[in-house]
Amino acid sequence: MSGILNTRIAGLTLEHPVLNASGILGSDPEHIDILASHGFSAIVTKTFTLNPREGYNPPILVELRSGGFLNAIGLANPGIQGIKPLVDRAKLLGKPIIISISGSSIEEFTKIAEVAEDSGASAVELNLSCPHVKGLGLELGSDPFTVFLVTREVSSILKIPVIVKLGLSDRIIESAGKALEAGARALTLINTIRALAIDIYSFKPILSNIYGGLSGPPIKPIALRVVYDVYREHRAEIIGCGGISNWTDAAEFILAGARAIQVGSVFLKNRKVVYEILEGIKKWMNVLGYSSVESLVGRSHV
Amino acid sequence: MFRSAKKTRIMTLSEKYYYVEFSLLEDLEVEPRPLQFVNIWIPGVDEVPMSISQYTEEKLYVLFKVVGEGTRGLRDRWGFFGIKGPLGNGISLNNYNSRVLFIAGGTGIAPLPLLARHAERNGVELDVIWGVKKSSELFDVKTLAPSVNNVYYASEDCIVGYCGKASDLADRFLREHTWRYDIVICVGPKNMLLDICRKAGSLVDVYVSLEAIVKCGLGACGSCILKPIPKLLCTDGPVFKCNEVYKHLEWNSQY
Repeated sequence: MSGILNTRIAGLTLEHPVLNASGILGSDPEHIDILASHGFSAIVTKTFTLNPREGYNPPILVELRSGGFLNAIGLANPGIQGIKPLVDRAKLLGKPIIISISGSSIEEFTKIAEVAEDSGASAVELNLSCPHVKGLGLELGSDPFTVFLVTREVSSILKIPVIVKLGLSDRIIESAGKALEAGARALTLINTIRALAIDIYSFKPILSNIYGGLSGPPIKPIALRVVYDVYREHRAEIIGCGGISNWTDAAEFILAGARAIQVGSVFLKNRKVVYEILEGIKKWMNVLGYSSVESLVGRSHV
Repeated sequence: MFRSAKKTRIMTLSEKYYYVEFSLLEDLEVEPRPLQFVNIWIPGVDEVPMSISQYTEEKLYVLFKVVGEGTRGLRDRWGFFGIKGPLGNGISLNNYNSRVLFIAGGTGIAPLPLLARHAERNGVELDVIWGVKKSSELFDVKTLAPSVNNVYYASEDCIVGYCGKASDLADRFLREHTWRYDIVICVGPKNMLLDICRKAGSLVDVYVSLEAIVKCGLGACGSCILKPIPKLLCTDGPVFKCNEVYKHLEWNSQY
């Protein structure tokens, strides 16, 4: 594989830098088919927990008048027995596959991570930042010491790369540092941001879970700032995520320090977005006279 | 986004079928096509996918049977609801399909009124076959869709119309009259759709409208995946040609 868009992240070599964000499809083999057919260079699964989870009752996802989406799917997933079929499907399609995992204890994280590795996954992404599931999310990622413990335990038993996904919190730069210190090969920054929407006629919060994670264009400048800060502090390998909707957004993230990017919300409105981003990036590189996208990573830092 | 709507009327059409009128507080912005659906949020209860039965600029109608919490809420609650959609791809009628047969099983009759209005507007002749389990479920479809041409009823309790399933009546009917139709549109239980696809799919263009568990309605959660086919009902459907979803219909009928 060689080309101007080739991207190395967390020890994986990808055809180009655009992945899907976890939570967009990714829990059934047929979902993998759909994602692969839309051009993502690697597939990130829905977050897996040890046991199957039904997820919340609808409404679980709503587009907001102010732009972006609010979701609380509730980590619906088929449990660890669902991992192998996804990996097998991705292999059949020739796509690297990253298993997103979450747990309520370190043991759960390590157990699921082992299943992912044994199934032949390319990497795992530790979801330490789900903003709407109690005990399975942001509480973990916002405490740098917990981030360290979980990442170290998982990293120490796996041969495949460990990526840590963090969410917005006051101590995110510190948490990022702890994840790296504990063995994370890359960081995915950031998860959705805990938020709320209320229906003004029925007076009820719209999501059945009341709170949800905000995604899409409204969070892009925040995500970009976090990527910029973490890159400046740690020079880490970063997968930028949060409201990226087009190639200019993607280019900004690359300049801020992201080696790869993930898209979610935009994919719900535009199934061609991966190709559009790649075309735009190629033209941008051409204008600038660059022949490798990797050489643009972090270039906004002096 | 949920557009706000107020429930303004409910009609009892037959023993089990209800027809609810929502007055839209905000326009849907795009005019729904026949067989598109909306997700209706019953605040504090559930969000349920519903075929669009009829639509004017200010009003939206749905037709349903009570099958769970959500539909019970649609029947019994008043006040404000949220409308997400129109969702899915629907179907367009044009001059090339000037004679259409619509086959419905049970609540599959729901999209007929909007389909009939579009048919009338485009000069399309529309015949209807509608079958139910118990004849007490039947009502005169011309009350909701006055422009339809011929209507043939079937009931499994054999009290009204053809004695048997809609698919059996459709099969007999199509064997004699295939030449009469440019397309067949079929809405109902999976085994009925499979049956029609098997028997009539090679004779005439058959479109089937599927059902699945739709949660988010926007192509994110993947609950409406049409196994084993990599298609989602909410963004790729609900209407497909037989050959597009044949494997799904077969796969599901094994369970």
